[in-house]
Amino acid sequence: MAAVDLNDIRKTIEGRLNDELQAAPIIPVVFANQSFDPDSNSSFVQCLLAFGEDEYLSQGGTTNSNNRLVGAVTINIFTGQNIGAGSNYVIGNRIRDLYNRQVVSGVVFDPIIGPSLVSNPVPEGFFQTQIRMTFEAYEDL
Amino acid sequence: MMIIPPERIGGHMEFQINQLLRAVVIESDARAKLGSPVDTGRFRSDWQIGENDPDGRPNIDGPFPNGITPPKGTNYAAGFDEKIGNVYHIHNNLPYAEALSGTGQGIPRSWKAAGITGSKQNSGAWVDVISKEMTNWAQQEYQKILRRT
Repeated sequence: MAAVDLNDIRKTIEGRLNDELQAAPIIPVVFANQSFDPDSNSSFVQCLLAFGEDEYLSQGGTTNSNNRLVGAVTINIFTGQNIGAGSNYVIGNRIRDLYNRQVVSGVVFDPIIGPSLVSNPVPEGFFQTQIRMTFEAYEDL
Repeated sequence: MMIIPPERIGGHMEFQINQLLRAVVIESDARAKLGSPVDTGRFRSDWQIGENDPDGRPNIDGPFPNGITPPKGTNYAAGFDEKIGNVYHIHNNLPYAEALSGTGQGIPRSWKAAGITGSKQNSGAWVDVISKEMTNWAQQEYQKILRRT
C-alpha cells in the first residue's frame, strides 16, 4: 500500500453502491455535489461521505510509517408515500448487505446503523430512511 | 515497564481504566464542541455529560460564549469523577441539535418552512466520525496502558 488516495476510497464506496443499484430493480443514486430532480412517488438513494482524521499508527515521518484514516457514510433512501415501509426496507437490506462489516479494496466498514426512519424528509413527498456507517482505511508511507 | 505486585494489580488497573475513561469523556466532549457549527454559540455551549442519564435542560437564551466551554456534568462532577461501570452520555438537548448533527435527521418544522436543513459549516456526519475516532483513540490508549504495566 501507499499513501491513501481519497478519491480511491470514494470510488470504492460509491462504486459498490452504484453497481448494486444498477442491477434490477434499478434505483437511481445521487452522490454529493450532483443535481437531481426526483420524480414524485419514485424511489431514489442519496450517498454522502465525510472523512475524519488521519491517526498515527506508528512513529516515523513521511516514509516508513503507518496511518489510519476514518470516515463516515450516510445513505438516504427515499421511496413513495402511502405505500407502506416495505419497499424502502427492501432497498435498505440491499444496501446493508453491501457494507456490513465488509472489507473492500482496503476499506474496512463497521456494522451498519439503520435503516432509521427520518421525520420531515427533505425533499418532501417521500418516505425516508437512513443508513449510516463508519469506515477506516490504512496507509503505509 | 512498571512492576506491579500481584495483590495490587486489580487496584492498579481500576485506577488506570478510570483515568482512561475520564480522558475519553473529556476528549469526546471537546471534539463535539470543536465540531459544532456556531452562529450564536448556543448549540456549542449546550453539550452536557450525564452519568447513566441523558437528561439535562438546555441553556436559556443567550448571550453565549464564543469559545470552548469546560465540560458540564448534569448529575456529577464531569472530568473528575468518572468511574468504570457507568455509562456517560455526551448529549445536546436543544430541539434542533439533531438537525446540526450532519445526518439530515430531526429537522424542526420551523426550519423546514424557512428552507433550512442544517448547517453548511459542518454538514457531514461529523458526530459519527468523532465516535469512530474516539473508539480508535480509546483502544490505542488502552494498549499503551497494557504496554506500560
